[in-house]
Amino acid sequence: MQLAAPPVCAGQIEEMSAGVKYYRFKESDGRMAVVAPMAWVRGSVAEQWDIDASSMVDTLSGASQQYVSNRGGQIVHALSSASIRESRREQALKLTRWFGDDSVGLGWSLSEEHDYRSETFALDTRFERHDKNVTLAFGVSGSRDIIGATGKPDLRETRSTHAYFAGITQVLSPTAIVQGNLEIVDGHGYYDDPYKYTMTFLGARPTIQYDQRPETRRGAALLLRYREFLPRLDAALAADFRHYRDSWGIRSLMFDVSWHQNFEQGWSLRPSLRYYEQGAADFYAPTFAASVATGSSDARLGAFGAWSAGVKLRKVFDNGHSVDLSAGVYRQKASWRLFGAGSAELPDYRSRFLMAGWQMAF
Amino acid sequence: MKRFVLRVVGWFALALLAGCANVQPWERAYLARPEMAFDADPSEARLMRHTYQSKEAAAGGYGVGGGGCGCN
Repeated sequence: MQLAAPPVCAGQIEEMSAGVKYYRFKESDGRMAVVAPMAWVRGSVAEQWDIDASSMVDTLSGASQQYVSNRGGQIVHALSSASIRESRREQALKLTRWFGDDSVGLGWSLSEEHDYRSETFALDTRFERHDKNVTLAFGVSGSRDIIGATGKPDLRETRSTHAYFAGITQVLSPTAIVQGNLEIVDGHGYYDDPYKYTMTFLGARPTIQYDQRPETRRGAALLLRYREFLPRLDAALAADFRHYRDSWGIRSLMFDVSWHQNFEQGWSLRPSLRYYEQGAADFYAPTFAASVATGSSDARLGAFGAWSAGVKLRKVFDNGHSVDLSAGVYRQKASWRLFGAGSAELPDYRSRFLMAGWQMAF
Repeated sequence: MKRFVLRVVGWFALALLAGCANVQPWERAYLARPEMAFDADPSEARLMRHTYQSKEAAAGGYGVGGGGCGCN
């Protein structure tokens, strides 16, 4: 349960709402497909108390990257030969206590699948100042993960992660607001991917490098967010920018912009566009001439750029209920990295998603 | 990374000291509109961020909490 961005108009949530989401995600080239229904409820449950609860089940099927090989002189990212089907369950709960316009929240979440378990506790607080023109938010969380692997019954590793958050939201004008957040994450433990390895052929027999990563990871993310309402167009502009860096050598940038256009009868349309790029981790390489202590060919640790585009259609009814439908595409390419070279051997990646939602207010 | 974090903290402090517009409560009708929220649809935002996190190395900045996944 993430500390939600401070509401523009602070104060306790005035009405209860509940809803469901249905999410479908599919990768190209016969890779993974995900179906994820989610249910949620949020609102005021007593004087000065808010609740936010959700439950989700991911069902994954298909094949994922298993090994990288340079046999034949070309780098190939091979998929697992067996098709998998597994599910992940996630529950989250957050209680918030209001003290006037200030608040303290306690959150818990649990994510479980057959080879992975992650439990998180989070504490956050927010303060309104300068006639609620400035909101300060602070948070801290701790997670404990337990990692196993199919076919490796002796594998039972752990990882602990702590996160620290500070944010400031400032009203700029009657129609514009800006937010800046800093999140620092400090993790220790098992980060290897037990399913992946690299085969490097320099002769007849390959060198095998199992996916091995550092046992610590420290990262920082700076997120800047801007929202402006344009009354003459009855529309809102949203723009987010994020810079991320970590101790693995990864540097990334993200730009996300969307336009929310209102129409008559409660209809709205929101197109969106996102650009993301990252540099490679220090220990990433497509081949390993000799085994090393830390080394991985996981494509997610390479250098690439990615574009995604989406559109959301929503209808709000007179009774406050609403329905929405979203669709989008995501594409990754090494050559799309704008601020540096991409990892040329990475295969292109494509996926698409569809999401439908229903919400009721009561 | 220590220098990066200290620089960001400095920018935040400047932003706080620089003062801000004094918009009165009765002038905030537009700011209160649902589409002006930083996460107008928290469930949708959570699903999308989980998807991006399974394909990208970077994450975060939106708040603490939230479970991980063995997204192999």
